[in-house]
Amino acid sequence: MTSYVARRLLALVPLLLLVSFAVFALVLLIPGDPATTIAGGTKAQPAQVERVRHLLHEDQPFLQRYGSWLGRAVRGDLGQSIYKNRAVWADIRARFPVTLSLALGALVVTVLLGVPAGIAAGTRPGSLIDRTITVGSSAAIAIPDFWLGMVLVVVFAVNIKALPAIGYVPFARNPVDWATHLYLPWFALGLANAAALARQLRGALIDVLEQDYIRTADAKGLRRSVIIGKHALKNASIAPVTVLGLQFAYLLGGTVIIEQIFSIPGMGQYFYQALLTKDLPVIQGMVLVVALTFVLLNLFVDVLYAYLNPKVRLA
Amino acid sequence: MQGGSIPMRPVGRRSRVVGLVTALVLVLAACSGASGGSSGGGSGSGTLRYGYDLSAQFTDHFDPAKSTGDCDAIVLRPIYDTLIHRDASGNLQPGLVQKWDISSDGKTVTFHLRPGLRFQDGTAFDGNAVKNGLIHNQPNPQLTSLQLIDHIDVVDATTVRIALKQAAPLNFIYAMGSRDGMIVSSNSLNSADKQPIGAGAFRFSGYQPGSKISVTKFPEHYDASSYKLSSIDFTQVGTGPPAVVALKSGAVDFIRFEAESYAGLKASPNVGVAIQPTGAYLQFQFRFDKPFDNLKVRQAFEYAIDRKQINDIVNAGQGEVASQTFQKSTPVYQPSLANVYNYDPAKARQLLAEAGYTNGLTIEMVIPGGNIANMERQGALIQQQLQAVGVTANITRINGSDIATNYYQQRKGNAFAAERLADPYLVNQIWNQYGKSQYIAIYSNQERQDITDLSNQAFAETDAKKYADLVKQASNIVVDNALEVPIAFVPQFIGYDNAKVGGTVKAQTDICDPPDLTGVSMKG
Repeated sequence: MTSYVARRLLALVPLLLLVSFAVFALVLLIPGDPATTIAGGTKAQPAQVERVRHLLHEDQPFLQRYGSWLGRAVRGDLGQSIYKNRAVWADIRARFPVTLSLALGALVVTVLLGVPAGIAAGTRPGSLIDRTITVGSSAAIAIPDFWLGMVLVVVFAVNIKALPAIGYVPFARNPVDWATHLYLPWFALGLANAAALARQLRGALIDVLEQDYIRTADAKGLRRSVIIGKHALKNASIAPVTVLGLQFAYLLGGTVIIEQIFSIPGMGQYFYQALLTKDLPVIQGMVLVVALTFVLLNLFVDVLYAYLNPKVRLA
Repeated sequence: MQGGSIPMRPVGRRSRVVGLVTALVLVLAACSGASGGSSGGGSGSGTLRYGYDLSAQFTDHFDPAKSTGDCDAIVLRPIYDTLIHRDASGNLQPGLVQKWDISSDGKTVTFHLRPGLRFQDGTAFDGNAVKNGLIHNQPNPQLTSLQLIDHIDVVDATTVRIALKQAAPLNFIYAMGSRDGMIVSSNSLNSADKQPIGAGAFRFSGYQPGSKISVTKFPEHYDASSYKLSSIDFTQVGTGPPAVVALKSGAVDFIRFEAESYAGLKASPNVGVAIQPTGAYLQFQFRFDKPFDNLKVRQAFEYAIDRKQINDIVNAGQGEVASQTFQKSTPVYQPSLANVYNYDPAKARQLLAEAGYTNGLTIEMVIPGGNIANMERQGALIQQQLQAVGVTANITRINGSDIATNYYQQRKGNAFAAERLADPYLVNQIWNQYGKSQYIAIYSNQERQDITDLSNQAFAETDAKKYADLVKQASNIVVDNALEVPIAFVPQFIGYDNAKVGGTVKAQTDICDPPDLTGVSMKG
């Protein structure tokens, strides 16, 4: 297992180099001129624009700029936000726990709703429960998270006034307030993911439960709960684990709209504002961090595969 | 096994767990008091939770020398106050400066400070502090008025004489009502960006990035008795619908909102609404290439655009229909210009035919992108109105941060339909658009010598009446030559929870101007 993990880690190096180059090349792809924007837009004087251009190193050759940027990024220096004039890495570090809170809670909702629903449907294929869950999950997948978020806000915050509509309280300050402020976004983000997970688990369980070793276990007189819980679920979990891994990675990098709706000061909100203001160092830093998160989570999922299915280690 | 059914006791236990978690959610929600009221505390009447889009409007700088956004002023003004105030009509009023003099050549401005002023750290707010503060702010490239300063002399503790490089005294004094005129305590010049200390009515008390900025009342402010609030929490809410939802849910007490929410909030019994006319206006701006290098085409557009309909829909009928660059409440408004271009589609068609466009014409009209509701509505209405006179207007959306480069520098599109923000120093409103070497004028091909000359005279003028006459002459040129289509002046809206907020609530005088919070109080 150790050599497997080491091999995978080594394979990440060229991938990350490629990602870093693509991230830096964003500077060539983004339309408009950040220097003019920063210098004041329609109020900008030409000399001021040139000064900003120099500060952004835009007067240097592209590869030279990439080299210096990569060197600094490796040391954890992602540059300064142009708009806010603050260290990008410090801002990401401050906002990461917020988005992590959001992603972890949504993942818990996903598992709490998706796993029981997937098992209930997968172990009773064709039954009323299965059909209800299948239809329900199709509907849940079709509901956009931002729409669900707004409906939840209107119902639970505006009408019932049971939960706050907006805001975030750090866990360290008050765990109860922390959770209270996050229930609605957790549910908004988690519902569609739970539905996708339930469908994956259902399909995988139906396949696994048709295998001979399950029939043998049944013939031996093992309790159904043991057959499902101990033998079927582990083998059926490979596809759902992939889904969960991807969902978690998306949650860490893609809660932009939910953070806007609920006024949560996470990475999504930071990224959104950077896109609006063409804050290139922030955009580059965020894309790099999100890409890194994806790569590492994929690695984690692959290692989990290897644990669940030893054949993977040999491949 | 297909079609079989396996009894699932463990699932049953999980279901109970889910049920317990749900119950716990509800119990926690009930315990949290999440929608609770204002917290109060301190002297005054309580804490106002002011909905403010920190992520979009605050640049994370508490030091005016480092601030990079106009809307920082909403938070900075309570902390620092400003040397000069501007009232809702744009007139100059005393602030930390009690009165001011302008030399006859217009190159020297003398400020007389209120006696006995103190910063929030207890140090004296005197002539030296003002000099240090202005010099401290000078490197900020956005505070352009400070580039006018040649040197500053401290005459005595309450008198500061400022020599300007050129005669532009009123321009300078008007700017002292903005971030330019916010003075940082001399003891905190290096730390003001994190721990600001000013002489404003509220002192900084805390900042949670992206979430909240708190300020508490400074009882030694010269006008402390006018402020009824003990503290203000500037609380993060997104602009637009999220702000409205936050107000309705009780998460905040006070928001700025957009015109599209006016009808809904006005009808809500728990919400009070304050409206403020402003000098910002909806505008159709020409690029002076073909076809708009022809006066008859421009005049045709003046007649073709139904300003009232746009005001009714885009401004919820709460704005002022525009006939010229300045609204009725300004001293440079001219009733004689009010009916020059009344809505007349038949005349528009006739002028287009006279200009050679018998079969109509097609233009590329740029509007700000990002799905901004009032800009989208205005664009669609103009498109529809122009269609009625035979003009096909194809809409191109360009995001706000790209307008300078894409519309102006790269000259994409023939015209720009947007909202033009107000400049309290009125001559700038015309000068910035048509003056020589001005950014918009350069890229719209509309640099005009006549307006440049009049503007330069107005900059140097110290007599209010003569200054107004010069601005009126420039305004006449704009209307006579159909240099723009001013559509409607945009009002600012404030919504507040009328069960919690009392006193007199006033809306902002511009999108980034701080509202006047004197007289606002919290009930109970």
